[in-house]
Amino acid sequence: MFKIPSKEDASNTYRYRQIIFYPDLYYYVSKYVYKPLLYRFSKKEKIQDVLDLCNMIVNYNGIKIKTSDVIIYDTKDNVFGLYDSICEREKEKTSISLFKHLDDIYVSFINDDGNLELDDLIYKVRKYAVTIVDRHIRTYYYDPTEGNASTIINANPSFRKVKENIDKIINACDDRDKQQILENLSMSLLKRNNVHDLDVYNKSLEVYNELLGKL
Amino acid sequence: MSYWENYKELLPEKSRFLNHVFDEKLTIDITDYVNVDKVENDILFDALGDHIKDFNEVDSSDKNYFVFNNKIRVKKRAFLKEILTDDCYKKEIEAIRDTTGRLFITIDFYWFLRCSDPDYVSWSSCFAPNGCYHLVPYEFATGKGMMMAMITNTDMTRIIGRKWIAIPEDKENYEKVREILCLKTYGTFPILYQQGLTRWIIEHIFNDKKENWKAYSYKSDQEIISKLESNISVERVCGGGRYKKLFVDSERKPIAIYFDPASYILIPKEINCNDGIGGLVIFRGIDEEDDDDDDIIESDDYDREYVNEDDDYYGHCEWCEDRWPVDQMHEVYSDDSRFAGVMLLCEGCVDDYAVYDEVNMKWYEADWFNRNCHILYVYKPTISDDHLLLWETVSDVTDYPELNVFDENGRCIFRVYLLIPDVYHDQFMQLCSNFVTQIGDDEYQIRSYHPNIGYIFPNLIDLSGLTPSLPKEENNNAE
Repeated sequence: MFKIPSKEDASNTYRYRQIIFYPDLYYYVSKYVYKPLLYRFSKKEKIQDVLDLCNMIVNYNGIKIKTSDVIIYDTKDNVFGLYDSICEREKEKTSISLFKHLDDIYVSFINDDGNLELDDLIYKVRKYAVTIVDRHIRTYYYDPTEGNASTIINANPSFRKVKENIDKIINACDDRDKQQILENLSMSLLKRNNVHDLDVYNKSLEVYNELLGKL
Repeated sequence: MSYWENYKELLPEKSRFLNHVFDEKLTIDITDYVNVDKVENDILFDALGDHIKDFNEVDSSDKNYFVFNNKIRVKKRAFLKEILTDDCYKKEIEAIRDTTGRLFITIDFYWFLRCSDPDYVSWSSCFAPNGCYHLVPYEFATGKGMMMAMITNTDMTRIIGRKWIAIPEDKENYEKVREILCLKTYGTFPILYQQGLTRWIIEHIFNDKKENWKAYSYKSDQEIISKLESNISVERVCGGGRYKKLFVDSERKPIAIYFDPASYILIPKEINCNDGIGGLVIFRGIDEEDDDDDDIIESDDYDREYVNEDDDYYGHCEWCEDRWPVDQMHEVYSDDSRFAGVMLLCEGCVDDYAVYDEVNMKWYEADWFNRNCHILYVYKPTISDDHLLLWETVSDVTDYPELNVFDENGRCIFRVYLLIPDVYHDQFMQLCSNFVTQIGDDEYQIRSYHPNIGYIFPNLIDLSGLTPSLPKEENNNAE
């Protein structure tokens, strides 16, 4: 009934459109330990058809599963389309709830992974204050020989890109945007849990400090 | 006299106290009082997890199938095998036949000693033969109202769950008080087993009907449980529930007793819990003048239990192995399985190898504390407000800002403590300057619940259970 993500699925070598998600760790407190699950989209299916982003519920073949972490593997257009649809539906809500939702989602672009155009980068930061730029994708897989769910990090090269283009980014942003970028970056640094690799963390800190100096 | 001798001498009196139900057998099989099929069904349903149960209409009435949303019919065990990790499935579901094992109640000396014996159980406890309270099961065996309830597998080679049952003595005539303390559960003890157990006790020991009694549970009646516990005096209790400490016999060797908090307390309906019902829990223990060097438990089949009296007064520091009086040593949390969660360190070693957490007021092994270093950690107080649950830990922490969460009327309804490591102090202050006030060199206060706090600390929304909202007086300057 369910697909279980293998390590290959988590690294998505074959670039499928899919989501990997984990049962809501905050929602339940019990002695039971659950596997991460994998849902692969059909050609016509959109992310929104399966994932209720407002409530973080995946509809898996008719069974609804509350989730906390969702890793989306899809094309850039589809992912941005998802953000647009959230904003439409969520515009009556506070921005904070929007942030919270986005905070639970990791995206990996399967057609141009990490190679976002600078304009896109700035556009997203300005419009939604999304932390796309600083995400390192932590994803789950399940290996029966290990007995428990494991995680791997798919490094996101956006930090390097941000660092290379700091001056352009600063020029393109107004004061409010700059503050927002800084806050987004510092958020991810505060949540060191999301960045397991110390080197990655230190590089992130380096970018943050450089931005801090210039903003 | 040794524990064994004292136990044997007490046994006739203990059996009389417990309504002679143990006259013929010290261990009684009361499995008939449990509906095993229902237990199995409940466990399978429970294993679905709230993240599925709460978002689907699930019909679990069929013994073998779940039906989701009136459409999807799946085999229960096959479905659970898909969603649970293999280890978890083997432990919790494949072993379900064992979990729905036999229910016993016992006053047998040797079953008492096996209560946390790793050869029989899967949990770690201070009552284990190498635990810091390893003498307490011996003490319990010499208590008139002490029984042990246990669920075992079919051949009784494993204890799946167990709990101590205490019936206090009256302060004046030392007869049994109409009150049943079911202490904390170790292992698995499903609610139907709990219900069957108390029904058996009420019917056989109190010659009454369960309908005439009411049960208070720690989860839902915490205040009442605390009140009832505080009316119970336990001899030399030094940890556990809210019991009063009692010193009875100066002739007997003083041994610190850990008496778990009660998970359930039952009293007759006719008694008001405010009426001050209470009693004594007393242990005979071993005599002070019994100065044999080696007090070996007499047993044909249990020859490895060995009690050295000096252990009662002195312990060995787990680090330097020097001998110290127990009351001059510190309990230090350790995740090293050799120490069953807690190790004793002398005053000389504790500063070097442990970290004292001021909020939790406990010592922690320094290595463990540092390994679990995170950026932030949050304490969530329980209802009693004086016991703090360790949420996560961090090293190099000096600041303990306090976050007050207000309701719409500005009334403080929730309080948490945020621990900010020094190294992130500046970042924290920069991000939170709108709602954090520095009120001293090392003191910060978060003035109110600002939505941005939920952004920075998403856990707080879960902790407080509140949708972010500002107290009215803060609205104007929040942005």
